[in-house]
Parts: sequence; C-alpha cells; structure tokens
Amino acid sequence: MAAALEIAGLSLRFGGLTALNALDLALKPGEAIGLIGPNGSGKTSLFNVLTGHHAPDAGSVRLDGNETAGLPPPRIAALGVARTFQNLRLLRRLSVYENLRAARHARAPWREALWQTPAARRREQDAMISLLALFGLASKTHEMPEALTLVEMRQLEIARVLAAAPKLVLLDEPAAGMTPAETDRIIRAIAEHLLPGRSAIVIEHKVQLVTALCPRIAVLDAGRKIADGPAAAVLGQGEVRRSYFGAASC
Amino acid sequence: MDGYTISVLSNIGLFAFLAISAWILLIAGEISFGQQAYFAIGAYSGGIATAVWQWPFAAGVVIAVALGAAVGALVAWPTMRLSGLHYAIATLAFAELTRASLNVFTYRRDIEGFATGPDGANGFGDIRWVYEAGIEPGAYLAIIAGCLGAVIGLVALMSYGRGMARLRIVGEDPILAAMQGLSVTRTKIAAASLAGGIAALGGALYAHLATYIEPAQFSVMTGVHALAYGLIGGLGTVLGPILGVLIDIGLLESLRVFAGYRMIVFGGLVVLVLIVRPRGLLDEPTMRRVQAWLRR
Ligand SMILES: Nc1ncnc2c1ncn2[C@@H]1O[C@H](COP(=O)(O)OP(=O)(O)OP(=O)(O)O)[C@@H](O)[C@H]1O
Ligand SMILES: [Mg+2]
Repeated sequence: MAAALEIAGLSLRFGGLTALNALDLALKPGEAIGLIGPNGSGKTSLFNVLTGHHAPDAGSVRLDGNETAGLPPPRIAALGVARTFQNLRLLRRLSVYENLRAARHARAPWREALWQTPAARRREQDAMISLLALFGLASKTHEMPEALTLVEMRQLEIARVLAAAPKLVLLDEPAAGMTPAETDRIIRAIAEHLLPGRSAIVIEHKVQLVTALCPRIAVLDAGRKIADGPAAAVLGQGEVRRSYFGAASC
Repeated sequence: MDGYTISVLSNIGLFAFLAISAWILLIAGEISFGQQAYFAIGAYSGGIATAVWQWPFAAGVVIAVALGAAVGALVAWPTMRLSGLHYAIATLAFAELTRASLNVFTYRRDIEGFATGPDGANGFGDIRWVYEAGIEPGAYLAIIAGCLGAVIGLVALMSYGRGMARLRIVGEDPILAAMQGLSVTRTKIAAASLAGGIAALGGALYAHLATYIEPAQFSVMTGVHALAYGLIGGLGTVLGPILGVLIDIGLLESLRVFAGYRMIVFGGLVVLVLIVRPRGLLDEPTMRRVQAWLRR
C-alpha cells in the first residue's frame, strides 16, 4: 500500500538554529505513530511544517501523493490535515459552538457566507452538538472557552479536529497538564473517535498515552530522527533512554 | 417630526454607514482610518451619475456602491499583507491621497446652461436629483433608513450564515483561521470590499441630501470618528457602531449640553470606554448574555 504521508529530507532552520534536520518519516494509511523527544527537539516544528505554517528549507512532504511542502495552510487544510495545539488555540471571543464550527466554514460553499438554509443550519447544529456530546461537552455548547477546564479545552480542540473530518490527524501533547485519570479519559476519546480510519502523529511526553495509542514510535533529537520502530523496542533502546528520559526527567 | 429632528436623524443614519464600514474591518482585525475615502468616492460617483450624467437616483446609488466595493477590494489587495499599525497608516495615506486627488479633480459638463460637476477644491454643487424629484426631507429620511436597514439585514444574514463567523475568526486569530482552511487574505479583501461598498452607499445618500460636497468634508477627522463609533458602541453586534453614532450625534451634539466642549467630551468618553471596556459597550460577552437570555 502507498504511504499516506511521506516525509523525505525535511529540514527547517530558524536563523542559525536547525529545528528539523533531514527528517525522513512515512506513515501507512490508518497508521498512528507516536513522536517523542526532548524539549526543543523539533516535534512542534514538524507539525508547523506539515500544516504549512512554516515553509521548510529543504525536503518534501507528500500527502496521498500530493506535494504539500511550502503550500499555504488553507490549501493543506483542504487536503485533509488537522491539528491540535500544545499551547491550546481556542477563539476566546467565540462560543464553544462557534469554535467547533470554525473547522467547517472553509469546506462550505461561498454562498453560505451570506445564506445558510435553516434546514442546513439545523443539520450542522445537530452534528456539532453530537460531536460535543462525544466529549462530554454538550452542556457547554453556548459557553465561552474561558468557562472550560483545561481538560475540556483539550477535548474541544480534539472535537474541532474531528469536525474537520481530516485524513491526517496531528495531536500536539493532547494530555499535557492532565492527571492520570484525565489522561485515561482522553486516551479513550482519541482511540474511539479520532484514530479509526485516519493516519495520525501523536506528540506526547506521557509514555502512558503514546504506548496506548501508537503501536509505532519515532524519536526526535535536535531535529534528527534517532529511532523509529515498534513502541516496545524503541522505548527499550539505550540511546533513546539517554536522550529522551535523561533530558525529560530534569 | 419637525425639520430639526429629521435632519439630526438623517445625519445619524448617514454616519451609521461610515461607522458600520469601519466596524466591519475592526471585526476582521484591521484598523482603518480611511473609510471616509469610500464615503467620498460614493458621494462623488453618485453625484456625477445623477447630476452630470442625468442618471436616475437608484442607478447613481448602485454605481457608487459598486465603485466603493471595487476600490475597497483593489486597495486591500496589496495592503492586507500589512498588519496592525502599518495597515492603519496605509489606509490613512490612501484616504488623504483620495482627498488630494479630489482637490484637483475637475469634470464638468454643461447641463441646462450651467457647468455642472466636480470642480477641484471648489467642490461639486447642484446635486439636485432629490429636490427635482420633489422628495420631502421626511421621505428622504425613510430612504436613508431603508438603506441602513438593508445593510443591517445583510450583516444579520452573514451572522446567520458563515460570513461574520469567518470575519471574526480571521480577525481574532489569523494563524488558526488559515489552519482551519480559511484564506486570510481573501477574507480580508472581501471584508474591505464590503466595507467600501457600505461607506460608498452612505456617501451617495449624503451627496444627494447635501447637494453640495467638497473634498474638505472627507477629512481624517471624519474617519477617526467613524472608527471611534464602533469602538465605543461595541464590536459584538452591528448595532454597536450605530449606538456609537447615537451617543455622539444624537446625545452630545443634539442636546447641546456640551456646546463648545463636545469634541473634548467625546474624546474623553472614547478613552474612558476603551479603558473600561476595550471592545465597546455592546461587546462580545454582552451579546453572548443577551443571546443566552433570549434562548430561555
Ligand atoms: N517560530 C520560531 N522561531 C524561532 N525558533 C523557533 C520557532 N519555533 C521553534 N523554534 C525553535 O526550534 C526548536 C524546536 O522547537 P519545537 O517547538 O519544535 O520543539 P518541541 O520538540 O516541540 O519541544 P517541546 O517538547 O518543548 O514542545 C527550539 O529550539 C525552538 O526554540
Ligand atoms: Mg512542542
């Protein structure tokens, strides 16, 4: 089977700093891969390139055979890439409902900017509210994001990814700041609703989450891939232990 | 209604177009000090259409709106890449350029024995369609109100559909908007075009009420007021900029309590509101509460 995502020789520099260094990574359709690595190793930068926020300095990114490296973010989003944000990126001035609906505007025809039939609007409302219900947020539909807990905000971001109906899902530390119990809940939500039928890259420092969701793990260190393989094997490697757990435990 | 009330209400209505125009760009995340340029473009093109070309009034209004929208889009195309302060200065520069151009713009034709049309800094008089058609001030106020109602209705439609949501998303977080698939440039060009058309509509209506227009009327202060109306009235609803106009023209000017000090009082009010409520009286949280209350 052809790869769903094929990254080859990808490099990204910020001035003198090399955030990504000749990175190769391929994902099979439906595959979920865990991406780990110490702080500043380039994980978020990879997502920024994959979503078009940064244009890479070298290399290629193929999504279902389409070259996306250097395309502007809206074009890449249209090809089916959606992400969450390590530092959360919700629209403070819009309700939870409008935050979720933000994922749907681009794929709707332009005339709907002016006129959405009441029936279409109701259909969309029902779809959005049942999405929120999946994450236990139905009662918060009309709240502002600031009324949500951290866990709920992360869940809303994940629901927003789902609302975009993407082919490739990019999750940036979806359980950051969560207790083990909360982490368990988010693992279940991701596994049940987000991963089936999609390719995914999951950045996470929590081994509990990575191993639960991703049979395969890749490790970044200073922008380079230093390991890639079955989760158990990768986590057992001495180099990974030194570079990753050594750095992360400080 | 007496003549004075009608003229105050007409004034409020005309300024509302300009205020809504600046408000739309505020929603899309841009500060424009130059919407008076589109008001001027609407006034001049609408006036030329009826007074010089002798077109019917409705055609003059349509051409004004079309021209305002087209110039709005055209100016936005290069300037939307600028951000914040730079965009604000570019709009200011464009407006002053427009005013300077009108100062030297002469286009006169002989209409029934009189040279009619814009005459540079001397202005453009005899825009008499409304009077020749025998439309009373009260009836013209109804026309202004009808056009304003149409603009409010358009924004209401956009709020019901996806238009306003698109503008608000792009205005609040363009990076997120782009990753959600929205083209930030295209959205902002659309906003600028809409804003240009609305200001031009107000300008065309203004020219036919005033019958005489001159470049000096479309100064920076006009644009600054238009911007301030949205900022004090609130960014949560299209009624916000109208509330701003009501406070300034309806209250401060008409009541004459602050005669002579009006600009100082208004300036102080703007500063006070911006400190206490940065997004105006009818800001987003207020509108959210109103909606929650309506849902009950
Ligand atoms: N926009 C930017 N401009 C300049 N340098 C940047 C930018 N974004 C990231 N960097 C740098 O690139 C390197 C990689 O950062 P990145 O955010 O990708 O790391 P990360 O692996 O996600 O780290 P963390 O685990 O802390 O989230 C860091 O040194 C960071 O300071
Ligand atoms: Mg990161």
